[in-house]
Amino acid sequence: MTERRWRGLGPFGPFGVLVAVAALVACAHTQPPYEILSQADLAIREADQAGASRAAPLPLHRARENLEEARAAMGDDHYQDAELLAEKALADAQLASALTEAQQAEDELARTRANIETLEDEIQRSQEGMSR
Amino acid sequence: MTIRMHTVLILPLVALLAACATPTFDPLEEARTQYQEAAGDPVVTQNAPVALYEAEKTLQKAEDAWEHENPDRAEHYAYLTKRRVELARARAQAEQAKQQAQQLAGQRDEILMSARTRELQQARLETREALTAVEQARLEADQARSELERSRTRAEDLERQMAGIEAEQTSRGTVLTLGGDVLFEFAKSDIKPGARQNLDRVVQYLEEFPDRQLRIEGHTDAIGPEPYNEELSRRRAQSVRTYLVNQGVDPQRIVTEGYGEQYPVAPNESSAGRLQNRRVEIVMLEPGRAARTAGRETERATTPPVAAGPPTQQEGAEEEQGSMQRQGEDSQQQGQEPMQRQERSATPEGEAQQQGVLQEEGSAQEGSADTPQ
Repeated sequence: MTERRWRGLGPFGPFGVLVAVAALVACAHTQPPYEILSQADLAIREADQAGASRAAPLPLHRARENLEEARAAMGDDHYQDAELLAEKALADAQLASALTEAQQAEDELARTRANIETLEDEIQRSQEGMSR
Repeated sequence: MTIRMHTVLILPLVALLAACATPTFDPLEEARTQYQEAAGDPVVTQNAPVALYEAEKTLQKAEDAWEHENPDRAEHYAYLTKRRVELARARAQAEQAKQQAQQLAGQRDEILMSARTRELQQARLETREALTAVEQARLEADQARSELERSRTRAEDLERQMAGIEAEQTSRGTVLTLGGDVLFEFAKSDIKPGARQNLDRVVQYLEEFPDRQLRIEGHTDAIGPEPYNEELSRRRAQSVRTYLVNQGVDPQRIVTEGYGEQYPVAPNESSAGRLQNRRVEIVMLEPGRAARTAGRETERATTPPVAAGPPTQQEGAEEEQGSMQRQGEDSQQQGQEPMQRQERSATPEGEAQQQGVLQEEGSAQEGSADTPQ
């Protein structure tokens, strides 16, 4: 009775099942890191659109490099490496965005400052005009 | 020598050993330093605490991996740590810049506001100044008006004062008529001392119109030879002129003329009429009119014909000369009464005879009229 049941499991018997389970577990641990890859990809696009190519060209470049390498690792089924590289690309892209934002905030600050100087000049002149 | 050889061989060996003995490669070193610097920077801790916290967590992962002898992982997390510290710095910088910009924007608004306020104040000040100026102008206008009012009142007062002397508007100008008997003794041309008061009032009146030219015209009644009358009237006019000049009236303003009996204002048949005809007229010409060209001959024919009959109101010597117009009316209204009235008020010299006759007539009439005598 028991023998018949094992037979039903296939040509490899109980051992074969064990091997298959083990392989599945191993595979589950190194699934292709699609999510982090797409996150990194999205972050790079966002940084690029924000103007990172001018404000933070190096971090943006590194992000792209890392993403390329991650994709290459994916092609070689090196999911582990791909995940780490994608994580690096994401961090680089986020840094590029933050630097771009900082640059823009500085620019805005400089504009406001210039604006005030112009304003003060104008007021000065109009007051001189008034008192004349 | 052998010893030397040994030392030469040993030295590089020692160096090699030393290099190997210190596995100084620590992938975390840089990440740690960077993180600690950022964590000690108040700008970062205040403006990017979350990003700094993420960096710290990543650094911790690196430390864990390093402790668990997983240098690859440690290096990976060290890389991430460095990026996240940089990110925290960038966030802090952005935050700070934004805050400063906001502050400056507030400052700018304040500047704008205060500038607008100043402009408003300036405008208000200018408005107030303008209003003050308007007020001032109005005040001055009021003053000028009341000044004018006063001088007009003064002129009117004077004119009222002159009423006793009789001022009359004619086409030539204002004519002041002075009764001859008031000014002069019979047949003389010296001004009577008692008449000076009257003449002084004339002087006062003339002073009010310093730009007017004057004609002094003497007239007589029809008694006596004409050349004599002309001469007398001329001398009398000159006498008045002399008096006025002595009182300070500019002689350049004055022209005299003796017309004798040429221009009676009342019939010479009655003593009252004759009294009216004996007179000196001071013509104050309209501004700009020259005295020499404004003789009586030039007067427009507005003078009504001299009618028979004297004026009605002859209470005093000075009131004898009514206007010719009034005289005309009077003569129409009053018919034969004039004799009686005239005799009551007028006492001209050199007409005693006539007067006596008139008096008889007058009393007879008076008795028959209304006086219960």
